[in-house]
Amino acid sequence: MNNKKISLGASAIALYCIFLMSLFLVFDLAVPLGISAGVPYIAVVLIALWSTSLRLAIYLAGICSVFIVLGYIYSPVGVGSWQVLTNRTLALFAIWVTAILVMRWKTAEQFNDRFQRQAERERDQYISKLRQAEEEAKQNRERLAHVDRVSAMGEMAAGIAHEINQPLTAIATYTEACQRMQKNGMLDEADLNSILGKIGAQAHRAGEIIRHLRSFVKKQESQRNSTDCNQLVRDVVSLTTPEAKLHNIAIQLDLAPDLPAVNVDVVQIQQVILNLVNNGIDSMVEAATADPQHEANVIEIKTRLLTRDAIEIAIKDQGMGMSDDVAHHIFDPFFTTKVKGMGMGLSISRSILKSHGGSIQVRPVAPRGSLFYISLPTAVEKRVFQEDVYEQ
Amino acid sequence: MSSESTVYIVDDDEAVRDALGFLMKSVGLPHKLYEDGQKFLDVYQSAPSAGCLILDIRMPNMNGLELQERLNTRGMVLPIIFITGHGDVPMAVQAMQLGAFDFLQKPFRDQDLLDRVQMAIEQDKQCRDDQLEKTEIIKRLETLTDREREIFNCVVEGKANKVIAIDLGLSQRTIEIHRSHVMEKLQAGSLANLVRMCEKAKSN
Repeated sequence: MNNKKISLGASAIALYCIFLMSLFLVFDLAVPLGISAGVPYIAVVLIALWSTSLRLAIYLAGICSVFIVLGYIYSPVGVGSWQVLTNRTLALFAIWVTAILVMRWKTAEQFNDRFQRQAERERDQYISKLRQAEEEAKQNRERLAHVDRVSAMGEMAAGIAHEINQPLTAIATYTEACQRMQKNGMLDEADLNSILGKIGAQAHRAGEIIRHLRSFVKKQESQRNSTDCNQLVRDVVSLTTPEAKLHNIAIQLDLAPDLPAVNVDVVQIQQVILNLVNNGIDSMVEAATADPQHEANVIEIKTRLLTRDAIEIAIKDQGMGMSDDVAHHIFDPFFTTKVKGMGMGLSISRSILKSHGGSIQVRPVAPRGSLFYISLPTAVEKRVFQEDVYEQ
Repeated sequence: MSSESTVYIVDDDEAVRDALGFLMKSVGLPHKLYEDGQKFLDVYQSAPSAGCLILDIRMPNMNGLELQERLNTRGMVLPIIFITGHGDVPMAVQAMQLGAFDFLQKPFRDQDLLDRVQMAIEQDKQCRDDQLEKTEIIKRLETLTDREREIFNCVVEGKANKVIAIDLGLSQRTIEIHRSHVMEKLQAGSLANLVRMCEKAKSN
């Protein structure tokens, strides 16, 4: 009991002890037990020390001492007997030594308790600081991923502008054709309706491109949804086709049907695939500049079920390829073989996949080029992939 | 607008292609739409006809410049109007240097495109007519005898009959007879025409 105040239970026990002690005193005075009168008193003191507060116990020990002295003074045996005197003195000595020893032990226990509680408090504080740092690191990763997305968009600006220009051109041409037809009296209602429908569709097409861009570039909290890999791939391809077309590169898809869903942050995984496709394009442009004769202009994207629990997305290019040494470092931050860019794309991709419980690897392909393959766990079982460092 | 001239439109974007088709329809121009260069070549090579080509520069597989090259190497002289997207100026310059008729940036005004289509069709017709004429002239030239040929060459240089007679060691009368034969065979009508025909035969 660590209370500063004396609790009800402690007081009750103390009173009980006093009652016992009084009993012994009466017994002591009535019966000539001169020799071993101290023993019951020691028992009472022990009980008191064990079950009540230390302060009360000390008071009780004091009262015991007084009772022992009283028992000696009013003893029926007589005051002069030296055995009785020795016995009473020994009793007093025993009580007080016991009291002191038990007190020290209990004090040490209390100190130990306090110390343990202090240690627990400190550990909790440490854990919460660690969690804070984890949270900050996660936010920084998301910020970095966002910056990477924005810069990817910036680099693709020419392709994007071109892509939006197409529906605009169609709209302008349809409208002007319509006006001419009307002026020449060639326009009937069915034709007009059809053309208006087509104009509207093109306006929506431009809107879709904008919408997709916006959602890709938005800074947002990571949120996971159950998604179809193939649709994810198709959406990325629609974002990257203009850039590919600019360089005469075709993107071929080989998507396995009926793949199970994955539980992913769609924007982040799209970012990874976009990064890989853009890298493929850059590599192939470089290869074409180095060797204009070489006919190589296809990027293949393939999805398949790897195991019951994982889906693989492979992106193959026909570009420069890479040496073993480069392949070893390719996912390191700030590592790049290109003139432009920070070299963060692949390292960000790897950390995105890690946080999804997936992986990314690369190997060379013949005759030349690289194959990047990423794996993502399916949403079949619910798995938790938090990076709790201290639990590892 | 001749019924023989066809506007060929090659663009991989379906909406742009369709819209251009509508535009041609609105001014009554016969037209054919193709989604890629190869499909166009397959059809056109077997039946090259008059008209012009509206061609998108940026396309997958075979881009506009490649198609232009193929047409050039096959000696097909269909005038090409390139339509280009954002940032394609270097490619457009290259296209012009390789003999394109013109180029327009998207989005363009319909009148601008139609004007150019009109001019291109005109140029193409002119070209074909010239070509036909040249072939005809060469055919007629081949009917000349060696002697007539000799005299023809001297006449178009502007030499008088008398001078030719002296140069070739023949009588002036002979020269006159040959000369009238040449005129007949070539159906020249006048000296000026004869010279013009000579120039035409030598051109290209």
